[in-house]
Amino acid sequence: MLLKLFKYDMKSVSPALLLIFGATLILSYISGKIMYDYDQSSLILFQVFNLLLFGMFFVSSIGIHVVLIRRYNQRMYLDQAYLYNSLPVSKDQLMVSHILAYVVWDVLSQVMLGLSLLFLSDMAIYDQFIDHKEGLNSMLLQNFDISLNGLIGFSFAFIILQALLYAVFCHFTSAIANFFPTKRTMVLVLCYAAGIIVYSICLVNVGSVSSADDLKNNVLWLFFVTAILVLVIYLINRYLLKRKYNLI
Amino acid sequence: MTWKLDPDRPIYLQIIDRIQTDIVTGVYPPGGQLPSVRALALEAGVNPNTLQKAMSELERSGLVESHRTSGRFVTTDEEKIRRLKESLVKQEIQTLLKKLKIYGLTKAELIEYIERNEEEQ
Amino acid sequence: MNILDCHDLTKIYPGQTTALDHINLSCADGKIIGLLGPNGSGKTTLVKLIQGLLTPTEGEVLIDGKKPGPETKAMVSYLPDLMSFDESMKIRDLFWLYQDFYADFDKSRAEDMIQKLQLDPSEKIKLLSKGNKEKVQLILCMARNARLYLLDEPIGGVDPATRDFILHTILSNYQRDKASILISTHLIADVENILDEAIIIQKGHIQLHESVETIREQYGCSVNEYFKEAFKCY
Repeated sequence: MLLKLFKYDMKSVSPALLLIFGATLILSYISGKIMYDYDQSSLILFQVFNLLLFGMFFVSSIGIHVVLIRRYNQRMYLDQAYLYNSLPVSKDQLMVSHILAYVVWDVLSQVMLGLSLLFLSDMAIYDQFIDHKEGLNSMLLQNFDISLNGLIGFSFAFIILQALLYAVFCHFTSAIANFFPTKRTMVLVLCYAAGIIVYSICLVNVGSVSSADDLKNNVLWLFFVTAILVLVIYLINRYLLKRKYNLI
Repeated sequence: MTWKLDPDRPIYLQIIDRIQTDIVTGVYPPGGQLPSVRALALEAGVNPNTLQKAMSELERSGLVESHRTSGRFVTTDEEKIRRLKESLVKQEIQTLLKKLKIYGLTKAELIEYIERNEEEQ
Repeated sequence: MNILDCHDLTKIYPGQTTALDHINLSCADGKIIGLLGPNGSGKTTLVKLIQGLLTPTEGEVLIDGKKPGPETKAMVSYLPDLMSFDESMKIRDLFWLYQDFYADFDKSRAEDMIQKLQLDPSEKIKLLSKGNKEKVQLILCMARNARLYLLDEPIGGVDPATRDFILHTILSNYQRDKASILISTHLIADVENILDEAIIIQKGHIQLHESVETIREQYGCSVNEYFKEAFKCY
């Protein structure tokens, strides 16, 4: 049942997201190709491309969240709520399937944005990376006691943890917004604004340290606190769905 | 087209009336098979349980027989059907006479009206 | 085992009047039951509580002895009063969805009904007329071999021919021994003939729960007439 729900969630969000990220990739690729051999006549074309590209990056970063938040609200509280909440699935399955979709697409989006940057530099960034890999590795081991591969692995884990946080936060705000059915959008926007502000403050505090050791400790703390937060919010959502769910 | 049913009388009684009429007028001949409860309920536009109740009543009165595997059949007892026809017709005549009493007709006047009606037709 | 039991079932919407006030109800298996009452009487609230789309303020509702959850949703086929689809789907995509999640969904029966209605299964839902969308929803509901069918206002707001079609579909898909149907409606006269029992609900209270035949015998009039008399507004 869980995988079936996941299938339908993916079917619903993938077309729009593939479109957005696909367009970004293609624009980046083209931009990267023409960036290094342009002449005066294609300057305007180049500028237009840049503008489009900037727009696409912006849309991609926001787009993934908009699409996934919309999907959850629609199937839990709005148009499709009767359909999905009548299915013989548990509240946990309903939440986890959306979380999975969010994580998959968040990871995909980061990969695609990364690829876009690579294309944009016409693979120059990649070449640089390969050249300096050894140096990076030893710098990391020296200062942070972690290898390059270790850092990559940790970043990957952190991306997934962040995606989990986005997903459970989405569920939480949607549940809160449902308590105010007439002011739903406003409540959602307020909650997200508050969330972004709080999160940004945390990130700033974590980053503004003077020593490598402090940075490392802060990052590890952030990791564990985020993990616990994800769990706590998930449990709160579970309670809200099971005991306080009202489809009016 | 669903059967026209009077909203003020119990439905099962009206179903009994209708099936009795159908048997007497030969829609369901003696020994003939009746449609299944589901089919009849669908045709009449009524609850199958109600139709089942009507059928049980008809079985009790002996007008309809139930053969477990093959369904329900009209009785082959033609005498019974004839007696039913008599009582149904008698009921109609009594109803008619009650109505006509309002117009204050004598028996002779009534017979005259009937004969005149037949000539015109 | 009763198909439906309500014990002291109460629902108070936040900051509003009581929709259901300590309802006690028992419905036996295998009947077509009408949940009748004016708009705002609590019918839809009761139906949603049975389906688990609302959580009770007090009391409980049991379906075949179980609380509303995945198990009961697998045996209850619900027809909501509002339409609920992913409109970008085609009709046959919806059939696949139902088949994916409901073990008791009879896809061939659904396809048969769609064909009889001369609807194209490859048509997108959002291009259908309102009447056709409602018919699709009804077909999805009735093509399941459920133990309890919950129909919320199935015939409100449709033309007489469609109304006949809906009642006909309900009757022809109803397998007497295995299923129960609960029809919630304010159009009493139109459904009376197909009901076994009538539950009359008003202002969150159950005023009457009786078989239709008994009501007709006892009061000498239809349930519709009885209702008009008993709940006169003037």
